[in-house]
Amino acid sequence: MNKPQIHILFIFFIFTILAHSSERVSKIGYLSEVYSDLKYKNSRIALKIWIEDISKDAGINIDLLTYNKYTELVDDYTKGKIQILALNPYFYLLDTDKINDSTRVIWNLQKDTEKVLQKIYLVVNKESNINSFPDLINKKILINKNNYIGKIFLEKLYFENLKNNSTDFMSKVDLLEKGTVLLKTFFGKYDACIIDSYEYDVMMELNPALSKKLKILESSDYILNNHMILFNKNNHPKNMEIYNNTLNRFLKDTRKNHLFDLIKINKIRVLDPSDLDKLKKVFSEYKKLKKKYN
Amino acid sequence: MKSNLFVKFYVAILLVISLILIFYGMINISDQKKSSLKIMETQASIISKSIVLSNVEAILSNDNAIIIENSLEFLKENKLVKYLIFNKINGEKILIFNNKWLLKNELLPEYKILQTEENKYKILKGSIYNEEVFHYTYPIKISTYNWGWFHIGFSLDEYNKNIERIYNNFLYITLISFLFSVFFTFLFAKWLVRPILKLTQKTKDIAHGNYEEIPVMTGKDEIYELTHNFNLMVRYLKRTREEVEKSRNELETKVKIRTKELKELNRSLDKKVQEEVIRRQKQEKYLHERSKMAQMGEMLNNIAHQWRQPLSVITTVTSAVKLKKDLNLLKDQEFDENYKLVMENANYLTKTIDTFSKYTEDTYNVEHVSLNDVIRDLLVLNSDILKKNFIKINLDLPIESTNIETIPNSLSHVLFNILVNANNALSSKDNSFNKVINISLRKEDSKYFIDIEDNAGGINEKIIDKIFEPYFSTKYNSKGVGMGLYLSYDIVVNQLNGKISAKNCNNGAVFTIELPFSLKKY
Repeated sequence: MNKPQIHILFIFFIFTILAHSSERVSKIGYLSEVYSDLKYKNSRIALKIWIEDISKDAGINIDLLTYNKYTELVDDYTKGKIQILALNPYFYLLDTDKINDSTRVIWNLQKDTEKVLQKIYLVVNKESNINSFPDLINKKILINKNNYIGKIFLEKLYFENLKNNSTDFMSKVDLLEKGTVLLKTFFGKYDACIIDSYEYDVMMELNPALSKKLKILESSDYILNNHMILFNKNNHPKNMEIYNNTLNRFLKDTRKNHLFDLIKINKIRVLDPSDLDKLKKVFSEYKKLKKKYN
Repeated sequence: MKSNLFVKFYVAILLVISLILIFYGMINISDQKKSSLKIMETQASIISKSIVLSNVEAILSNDNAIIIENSLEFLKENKLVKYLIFNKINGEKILIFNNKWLLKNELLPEYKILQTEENKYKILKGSIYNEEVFHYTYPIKISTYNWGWFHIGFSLDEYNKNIERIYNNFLYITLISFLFSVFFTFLFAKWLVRPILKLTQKTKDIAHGNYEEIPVMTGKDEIYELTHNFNLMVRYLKRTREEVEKSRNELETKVKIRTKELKELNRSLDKKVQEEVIRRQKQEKYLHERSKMAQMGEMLNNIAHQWRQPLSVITTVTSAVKLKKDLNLLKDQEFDENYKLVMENANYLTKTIDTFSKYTEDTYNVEHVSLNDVIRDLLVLNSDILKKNFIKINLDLPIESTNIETIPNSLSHVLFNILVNANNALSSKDNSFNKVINISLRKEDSKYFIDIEDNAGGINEKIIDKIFEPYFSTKYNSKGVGMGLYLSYDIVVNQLNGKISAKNCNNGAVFTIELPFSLKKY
C-alpha cells in the first residue's frame, strides 16, 4: 500500500514516545532515499503539527535528522550521534554486525498481528501462460520501489532457475512508486508481481475473485519483516524502560491506537534477533549467487 | 354560560394556533428535508468530481487497479460513503465497498435508470447495499469523451440524524410555542370575551331587575357599539319598566277597588244564597213533613180500615156478652172464649198502633234490625188497603238472618212510599185484574237488594229517568206533590248509603233498593 506514509507516521509515533519520556534533546535518524516521497501526503503536515503540539506540551526539543547516504546514517548511529534509527530491513542486512554492536533493542513494526514475518510471493496472471520461472523471460514484472527484499527474492529466483546474469532481467522489472502491484497484475497491466503474503491475503479478502485470474508461482519462507526501530546502546536503561512503558500506554490508548490503523501497522513488538536468521541466510545465498553470476 | 363562551373562544384560538404551528412545522420540515438533500447533493457532486479528478489518469489509462486502490483508500477514510461504482460504457462495472470490491458485467436497472447526461440522485435501498443510502450518479465526461458513470452511495445516518434533530427542534419549538400560546391565548381570550361576559352578566342583572348601565369602553369597535346599543336598550327597558310599573300600580288600585266591590257583592250573594238555602231547607222540610203527613194520612186511613173489623168484633162480642149476662145466659166458658176473642182483637189493635207509632216516631237512629221484620211490619200496616184493592202480595224473603245496620224508620218510609205508589198504580186497574206486588229480598256480596215489582204496566219510558227528581209527579190534580220518590232517593243515597233504581219489567215497574250491611263508610 502506501509505505512512505507508514514510515513518516512511524517516526512521528517515536516522537510521541520521546515527548513523554525525556526532557533532553533526542535525535532520530532516517534515510531520505527511503522516505523521498514523503511530501506526497497531506497527512504528513497534519501529523507534524500534531507532534509539534505534543513536543511543546512536554517542553522538549526533537531533532529529526535526514540522511542522504546510508553509510553516514549508520556511522552516526554507531558513533552514538543518534539515539534511534528507523530502518528498512534491507539496510539492516547490509551492515548487520556493525549495527547490532551499537543496538540495545530492536522493535519490529508488523502489519499482521499474529505473524512476525511475512512470505514473499511471485504472483502471475493466469492468462499470461506462465507455468514456471523461465516463462517470465520477456514478461512484464512489477515490484514496489521500496520492496528491497522482494527484489532480492526475485533476483535470487532468477539465479537459481536460470543460472545466468540477472542484469538484463532485473533492469526490465518495473518499480511501482505507489499502488498495489497485485491489482495491476490482475487487470493485465503486468504479467507478474512480487508481493508480501500479508498484502496478498488482504487483497484476496477484498475480492476473492482475484484467485480466478492470479496464481502464486513462487513463495519464500517466512523471512520478511516490514520495518525496524533500533535503539542505540547509549540510550539509558531508564529511558528504555520509559519507552517500553510509553509504548504499552500507547497501545492501550484507544485514541492513540487509532494511529495504527492510519499507518497500517497492527502490532509493534520487540524483535528477537533469531527471527531474522532465515532472512540473513537468504541474503547471504543471494550475495553468493550474485557474485557467482553477475 | 360564562365558562362555555370563554372555553369555546379559548379552545378555538388554541386550535387555530396549533394548526398554524403544525402547518408551519410541516412546511418547515419539508423545506429542511429538501435543504438537507440539496446539501447532500452538493456534497455528493463535489466529492464525485474530486474522486473522478483524482482518478482521471487511471480512467484515461484504463487502470482499474489505481481506481480500486484509490477508492479503497477513500472509503477507508470516509465512513459516510458506503460504496463507489465506476461504470464504464461497454466495459466492466467496478463496485467498491470499504471491505471488498467486485467486478460486474451489468448494473441493475434501479441504478442504470439514474445514468443520464445529468447528475441524478435518489434515496434507495438497492440490491448492492442493504441499507437506505443517498445514491448519486455522476456522468464521467473527459473533454468530449463519455467514459461512463460514477456512482456514490452516501450513508443516510447524518441525514437521518439531521432530520431527527429537525423533528426534535420542531417538537420543542412547537411545545414551547404551544405553552406560550396556552398562556397568551388564555389572556387574549379573556380580554376578548370579557366585554361579552360583562354584557351577559348585565343581562342577568336586568333579568333580576337591576337596570344599571355598563360603563362605555374606549374605542369605536363593535364591542363599543354593542355596549352603547345595550345601554340604549337598558334605558328603553328601564323607561318601559317604569311605565309598566306605573300601569301596574294603577291596575292594582283598580283591582283593589273592584275586589272590594266583588267582596261586598260576594258577601251579599252569600247572604242571599244562605237565605235561599235556609228557605229551601225549610221548604224541603215542609215538603218532607207534608209528604210524611200525607203518608201518615194514608197510613191512618189504612189503620182506620184495619181497626174497623176488630172494633166491630169487639163491639159485637161485648154486646153479646152484655146481653147474655143480662139474660143470665152467659156461661163461664163462653165468657172466657169471648174475653179471649176481645183480647186478641185488642192486642191486634195495640200492635197496629205500636207499628204506626213506630212509623210516626221522628227518630232516625241507626239500629240493627231484621230486614224481614221491617218488610213484614210494612205489610201489616198496609194489609187492609191491599186487600181492599184486591192486591196480592208475593213475599220472597230469605230464611236465614237478614240483620242489617241501618236507619229502620227512614227505610220504612222509603218502602212504604214505593208500596203506596204500587198500590196506587194497581188500584186504578179493574178488580178482575190479577193485581200482584212481588217483594223479594236477596243478598249479594255484602249488600242486600230489595226488589218491589208490580204488574201495573210500568212507568212511561219517557219519564222513567225523571221520577227521582223533586216535584215530579204523574198524579196531577190529585193528591200527589211529586216529592215521594225524590225524598226516597235522598234517604237511600244520603242516609242509608245505598242506591235506588227503577226499571220496567214485563208487566210493570221494579224498584230496587241496594243497601249495605253496615252504614260505616270504608
